[in-house]
Amino acid sequence: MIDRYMEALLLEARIQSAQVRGVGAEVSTLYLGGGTPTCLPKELLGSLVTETLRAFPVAHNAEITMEANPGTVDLGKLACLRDIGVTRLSMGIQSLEDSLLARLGRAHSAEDAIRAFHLARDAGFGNVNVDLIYGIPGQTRKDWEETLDLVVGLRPEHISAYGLMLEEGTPLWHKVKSGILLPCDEDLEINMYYSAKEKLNMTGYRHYEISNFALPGYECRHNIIYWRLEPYIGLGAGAHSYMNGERRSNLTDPEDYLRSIMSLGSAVAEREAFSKADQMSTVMILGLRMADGVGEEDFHRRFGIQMCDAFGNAIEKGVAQRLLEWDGGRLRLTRYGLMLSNEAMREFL
Amino acid sequence: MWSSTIRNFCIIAHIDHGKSTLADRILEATSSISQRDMTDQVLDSMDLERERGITIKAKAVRLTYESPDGNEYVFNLIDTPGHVDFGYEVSRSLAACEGAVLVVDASQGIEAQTLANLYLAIENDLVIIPVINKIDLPNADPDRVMRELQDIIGFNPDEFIFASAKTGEGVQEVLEAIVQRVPPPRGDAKAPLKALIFDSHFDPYRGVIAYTRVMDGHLTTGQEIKLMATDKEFEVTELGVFKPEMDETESLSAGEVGYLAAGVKNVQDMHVGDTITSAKHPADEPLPGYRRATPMVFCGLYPIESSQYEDLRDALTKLRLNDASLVFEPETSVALGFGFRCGFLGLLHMDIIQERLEREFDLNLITTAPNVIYRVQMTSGERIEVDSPSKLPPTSKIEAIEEPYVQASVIAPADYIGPIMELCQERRGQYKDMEYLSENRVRLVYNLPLSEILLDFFDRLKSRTRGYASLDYEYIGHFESDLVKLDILLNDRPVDALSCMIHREKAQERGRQLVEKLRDIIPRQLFDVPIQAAVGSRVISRETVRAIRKNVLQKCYGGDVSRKRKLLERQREGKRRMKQLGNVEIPQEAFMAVLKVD
Repeated sequence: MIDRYMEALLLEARIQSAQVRGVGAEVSTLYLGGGTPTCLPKELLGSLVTETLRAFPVAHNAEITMEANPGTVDLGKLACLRDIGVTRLSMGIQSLEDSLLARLGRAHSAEDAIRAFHLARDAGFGNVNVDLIYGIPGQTRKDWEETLDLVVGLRPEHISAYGLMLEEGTPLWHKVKSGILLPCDEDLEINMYYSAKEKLNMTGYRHYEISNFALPGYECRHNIIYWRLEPYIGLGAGAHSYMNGERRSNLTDPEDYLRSIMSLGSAVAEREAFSKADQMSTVMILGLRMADGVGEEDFHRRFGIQMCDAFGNAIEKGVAQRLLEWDGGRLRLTRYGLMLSNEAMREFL
Repeated sequence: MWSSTIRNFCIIAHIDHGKSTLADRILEATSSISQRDMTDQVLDSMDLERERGITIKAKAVRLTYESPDGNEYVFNLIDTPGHVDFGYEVSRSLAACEGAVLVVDASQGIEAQTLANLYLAIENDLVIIPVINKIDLPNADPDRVMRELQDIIGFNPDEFIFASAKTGEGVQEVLEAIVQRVPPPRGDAKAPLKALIFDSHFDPYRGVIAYTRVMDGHLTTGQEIKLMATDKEFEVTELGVFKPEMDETESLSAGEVGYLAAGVKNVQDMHVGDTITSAKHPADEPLPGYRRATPMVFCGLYPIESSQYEDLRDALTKLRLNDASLVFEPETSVALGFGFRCGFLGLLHMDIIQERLEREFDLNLITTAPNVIYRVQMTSGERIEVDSPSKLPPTSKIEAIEEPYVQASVIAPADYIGPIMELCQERRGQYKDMEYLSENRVRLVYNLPLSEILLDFFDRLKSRTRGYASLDYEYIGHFESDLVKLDILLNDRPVDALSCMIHREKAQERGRQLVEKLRDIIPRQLFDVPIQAAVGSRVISRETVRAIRKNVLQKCYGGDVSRKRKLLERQREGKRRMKQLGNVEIPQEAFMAVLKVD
């Protein structure tokens, strides 16, 4: 299955690359993730990356990120990834408190996580992201701050901090639903968010997106493409693409995906054309996630219309509600608006 | 036509006791309708009626029955509405008949409404043919039901017909009983014209179609007629009978039932219960029993989109063409903007109108909680009628307030006497009477304020009696009560559409319940929203909807964009359906919350 899936994936990559070549563009970022690619054996993983990169014209300074779970890496695998051109690792550490990791159903311990981080450094990775989760049932503010302190001590270049989303059907969801676990108090969760913001700001990290922090120059270039609604190609089952004003998503079932790619060369399940109005509102909704917000000039250059003419009411309302603010010629969320961003964003639809 | 071969009758039955099925069988037996054309239950022609299993508007069908006695008879089957709201219409339909087929479910026994209609029929001197239906059901107990009916009305055992409209058993006997027991119409074809209007509907080509029973004299096309209550005159443009499709005739004589069109533009000119007479040789006296159908229940109807105001007015105007008992006038609410205060015969009538407005006219409406009509004695000596809490004068100017009372009768198994009495007591009821209909079924009679019935009384009654109780009620008059106006304040501003009238002793409790209910319904806003209940300037309950602090999508990457947009669209759609009051957004359910408190 894995071999056939990789074969389909690489076939899709080669077919899709025509779109990039057609416009004389280069791939500036590649992100391998969703699931745990690092659980693949070293050789397979290596050829996956190499072959994918070979399919596309790739910029020489491209950002190539691999998602890596702490329990699935060793020095050999990491060194191999580094050798074949992976420039950035994203590690799903989540917490450095064993009881909370267990509660999240993670297979690794805090010790595993720290060891994995050091292995990444040993393998030569100078750009590492650490994913963290707060608002876990039973987590105290002290737990959270301890994890933060330890992570800051490791000095990763990038930190993503997500409030826990209880996904329906997961074991944790069942426990909360049935009252075995108390969900995190909303005020506590908000306090955790702002305490992370303060602590990370103080230690040199810039809060550049709702859930993301980075040392200067280490913002994730790949994700910024999404937030600016620039073109991207998604490969594999369930992957999404955005090209030429059209959003596409692939079949989600791997078998279906595989069969469709092998017979048709494409596995698109859904297509959604984004009108100019859709593009404008999406640029606002996504752009406002970033600390830099959306620039009036950029907007005008892209759409030929002033942001204030397109979204006067939404902007006025958001500013009046103290959710939005102007910073020079850029519209952005206020500090208060970060956790209430949906309230402001929906007005742009 | 020989009136001796005419039989005018109706069917009296509780919902689900099989009236429509029996009517279908009778239609089949008289071959008025070919099997092929027959949709189930022809008489209930409106979709809404069929869905709810009730007959709203009376209809009349003329059938030809060939009796084994060798004669051909003309049957006029007059359908009657089966709900308490339409009691007056029922009484007029009964007045057009000489006989009634009483249909009672063999497993259930008689229900309150049926009994009320049965008494009405007896008052109107109708011959009653008791039919015990659904004898094919496994839990049928026809003997018990028969004994019960004997005890109540004093029927002879040999009067009963045991039937199953479903299988057709007993239907022939019913037809023969109609021939033999229901007397042919009396009435003098040579006397001055008297014809009873027992229903009407609006036809876009012919104008108002009046359903009429000629009592004396005769009607002919071209005749000048006068309506005795409204004193208006018209010329008859068309006469006919329903077979059930409209079939034109030249004349209708004493004893006959049919329809009449006279180019009448407005149902308001053709009141149910009015008497048609000849303009040239009028009768001295109208037929007895006429009264103006008066609305008992009022509520505000507001378009969610203020742009739909004119559409709502047009829709109400159209519905009123067919429904003389619907009244409405423009009303303005601080909370809801421009709308209409509408008056209805009762709660069901209100529901039906609302549903038709939304379904047939595609309107999105907010309905305020229904209220009754109050009579206010002012300190100045003046007396006024108030159909909305917001129109209540300041307390200092009020001497006394009277509210409408009804006499309610509840029929249920005797096991539930306790819970029923308890409920009636809670609802400020005064006990009047109790009688046993049979060993284990009783009829309880209470006087109750109508407003207490509007507030989910029937649902409560059903739940406390496991669905076995049936209810009927009738207005008996306005009586003084110690009533106060309960106001609701949101963010320190009174919301007129949420005010309600309530007995002083219940104000505290209701205020608390309402405020709690609203706290759960009103979504969190960007600031704290205090909710208060107040009587006059005295706040009796208070809750706060805490400000929302978190509404964020934590992760939003390449695959999340569509999901994100959909989430925001859903939120926005939810907001769009809310009413903006000051800077507080209120969902529509809030305005109905008054109805649903425990």
